[in-house]
Amino acid sequence: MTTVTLSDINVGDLGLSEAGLGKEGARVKTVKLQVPQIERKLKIIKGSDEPMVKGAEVEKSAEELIALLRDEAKVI
Amino acid sequence: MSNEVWVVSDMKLDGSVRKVTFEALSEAKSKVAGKLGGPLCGVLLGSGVSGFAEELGKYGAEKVYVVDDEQLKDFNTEAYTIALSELIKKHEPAVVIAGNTVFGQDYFPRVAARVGAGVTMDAIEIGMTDDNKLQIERYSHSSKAIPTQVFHDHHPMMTTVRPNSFKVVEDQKTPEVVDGGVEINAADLKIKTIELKTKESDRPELTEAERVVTGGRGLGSEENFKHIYELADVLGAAAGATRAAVDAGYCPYDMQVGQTGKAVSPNLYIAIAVSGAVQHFAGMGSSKIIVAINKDPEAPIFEKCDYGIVGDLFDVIPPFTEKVKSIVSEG
Repeated sequence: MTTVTLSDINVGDLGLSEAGLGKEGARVKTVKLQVPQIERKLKIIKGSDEPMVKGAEVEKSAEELIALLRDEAKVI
Repeated sequence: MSNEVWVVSDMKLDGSVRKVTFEALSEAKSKVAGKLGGPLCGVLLGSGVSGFAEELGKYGAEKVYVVDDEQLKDFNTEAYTIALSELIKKHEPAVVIAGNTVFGQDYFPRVAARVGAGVTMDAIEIGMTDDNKLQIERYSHSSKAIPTQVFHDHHPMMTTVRPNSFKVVEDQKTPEVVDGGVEINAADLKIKTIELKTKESDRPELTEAERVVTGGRGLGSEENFKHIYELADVLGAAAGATRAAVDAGYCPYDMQVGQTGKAVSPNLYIAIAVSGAVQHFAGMGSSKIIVAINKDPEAPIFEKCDYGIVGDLFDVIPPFTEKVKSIVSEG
């Protein structure tokens, strides 16, 4: 068992002033909080029989995705 | 105190100015300086950087402060902190803005502490209130919330801005070039850079890329990351990775996107074998178009993307890359 002595330190001992701390000392305040309004298109290409695209569907899905990126989103 | 609005240049390793500087100048011109009624000024910190003043003038800088010092040749946190804080104390601008790059994140808060300024980081919107206080918006809570923050009456008001958040608008000016009058004493620096090793890469830098292709742990190996690099190169994109892929040793940490990596905001973000954990989303959620390719139809990324394919990346990526390549070659 070790006894530890806790020293009582106040903000003045650290070279700080009460006025410069906490809400009073803050230089910036939050005035509003909103949820980001980014609407995603959620266009997911899936396989015809099961969720994953397989076999011949793979090439077709790649072409479909490229068409969406080029013609709809216009990012490629 | 003056009513000047400063944008501090962020320099690349090759000595040129990063695009985020031009984005910040363009946005600050209309949204901050225009409302405050003060001049828009550029700040160049470095060695042999005076020649870039004209380039800042192209994006509306009417005045450019230059601290050209051998001690600023390679980025050194302490030297840059001293240079900018002394410059601020001397000329007392109203607003100081910099890019939220690894450099800006490093020395900007230290400068704010030295000059007793308020500082916000990674702003995605900037503007002035009716009573001339800087107001910003930024992401918080892993990109699930956007707080609007306003500065009190403390000056200067300082913020970093997220790359790719603002459009670059040319507004040709012939800036007055002002010697900042700050000298950095080598004896004041506790650390010095003795060597700078750079990595050769033709790919754009992750944080300022218009397109990013990212791989997750589903790639399975370092070797399989070639699928990411090939697609990235065809698209002229930067290559990124999830924390899981980096932790697995498939790629270096400087590719990590997310809460504990880099924040990106490209026009196109392609996430391959990425589950879409909230920590990853925190670093890429503001991307304009998100594409997901994952074999797990229940992966959370499919609830947060614009386009997606439920498929095995090893089946889907090779034909996808070939088709993109043919589109690119057709011009």
